[in-house]
Amino acid sequence: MDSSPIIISMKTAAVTILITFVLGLLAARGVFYRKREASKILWDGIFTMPLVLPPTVAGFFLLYIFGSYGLVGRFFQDAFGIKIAFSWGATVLAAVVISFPLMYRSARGALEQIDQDLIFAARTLGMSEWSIFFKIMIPNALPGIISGGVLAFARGLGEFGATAMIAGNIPGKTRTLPLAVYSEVAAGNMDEAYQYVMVIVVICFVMVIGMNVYLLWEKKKQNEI
Amino acid sequence: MKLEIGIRKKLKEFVLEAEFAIDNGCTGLMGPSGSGKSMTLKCIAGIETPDEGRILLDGKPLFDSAEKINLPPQKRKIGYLFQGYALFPNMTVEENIQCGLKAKKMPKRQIKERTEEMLERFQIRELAKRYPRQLSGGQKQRTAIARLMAYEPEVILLDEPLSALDEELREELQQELSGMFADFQKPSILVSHDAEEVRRLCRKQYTIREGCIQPYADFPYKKGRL
Repeated sequence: MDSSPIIISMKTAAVTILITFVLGLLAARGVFYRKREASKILWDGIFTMPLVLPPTVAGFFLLYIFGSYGLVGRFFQDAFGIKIAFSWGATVLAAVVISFPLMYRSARGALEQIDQDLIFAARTLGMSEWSIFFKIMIPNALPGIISGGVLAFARGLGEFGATAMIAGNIPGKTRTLPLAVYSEVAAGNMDEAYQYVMVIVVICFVMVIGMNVYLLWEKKKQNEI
Repeated sequence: MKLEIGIRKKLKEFVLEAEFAIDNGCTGLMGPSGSGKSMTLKCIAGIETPDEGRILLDGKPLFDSAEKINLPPQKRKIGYLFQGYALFPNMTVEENIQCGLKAKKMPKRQIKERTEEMLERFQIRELAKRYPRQLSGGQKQRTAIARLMAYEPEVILLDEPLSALDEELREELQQELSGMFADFQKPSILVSHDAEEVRRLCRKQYTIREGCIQPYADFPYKKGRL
């Protein structure tokens, strides 16, 4: 078995979750602070789009923007000589865009569950909005934020459609685990595909179990006196 | 110190119109639930924004719609005691008290001294390392009061602090609030729907009906009550 898809996938998923976690949390905070309902609905719609669109359509848009003839793609090529499309970075780009809505939605839900009076109290005590975000909001919304992170990580690890569109399926470079499974099956190598499948199943299962153990531990901590 | 309020805010059911002034000491704000009492307090604290009007503290505007002044709650120095006390569940009693002091960028040693002083004064020293979920109702109230007093507010607003409690505890906490009012020489407002409670704790009261605040009664100053 060629182990390069495992390494590429792990690297991509690790970098992706760092970016998605921060972006998703900031987006959730941004929408949480919108005062007008219409503005909330609009931003939420934009941030949720990658979740409801078919990944190939999201990938099509990415290609349109970051491809060699896309606005951003061309700029990067002219200014820095960097080609985004069909590079390893493109696997991260695709995974970030596709996993972002899961992080954003979980984090926003968790922020909105916080007792509003806690935030009001913090304001009357002179705490700045960023200080409130880090010291009050995140700690009190942590279970929701963590589960969002786990879901986003798993989604990023399993990303296929958008990755194929913008990063391609280049062995040793952009061929991630899901693409490797597809390629092996297409080539009729069922045994190879089976090994990749097992790797993905084990990783995902361990993560979801880990998340549930954490949530249970968090719940127990809340209840003990 | 003098707090002057003249505000208008359109709510779902009615228009809140509040116009009154309070001096040092405790003023009661009475009225049935849903009459706009809490909203009035929230407007004073800056948590909610009135549609128009002015809120002046010693002549300085906290809010003035004509002048487009609207100080954020962080800059108003108004202590707010919430009905559920709103203690931060992720922090110990001690850390709760220190929150406002850290926000003031007080030097570390001074924060420690001030925290010690508050723990002593409200008799919660042995609870310093506990989390809010490990406290009784009375201990929660004392922690919340210690937290807002540590911050040295210019005005204190109390939003029905006693109404969710059972009879026995209410008696006890009333005593403590009355002690707090005796120490706090600046203006404070107690929102309540219990006439007896207001009579005991306040020297002056206003009632609110469907969003209109009217002067109701001035209590003559009684020794030992305040």
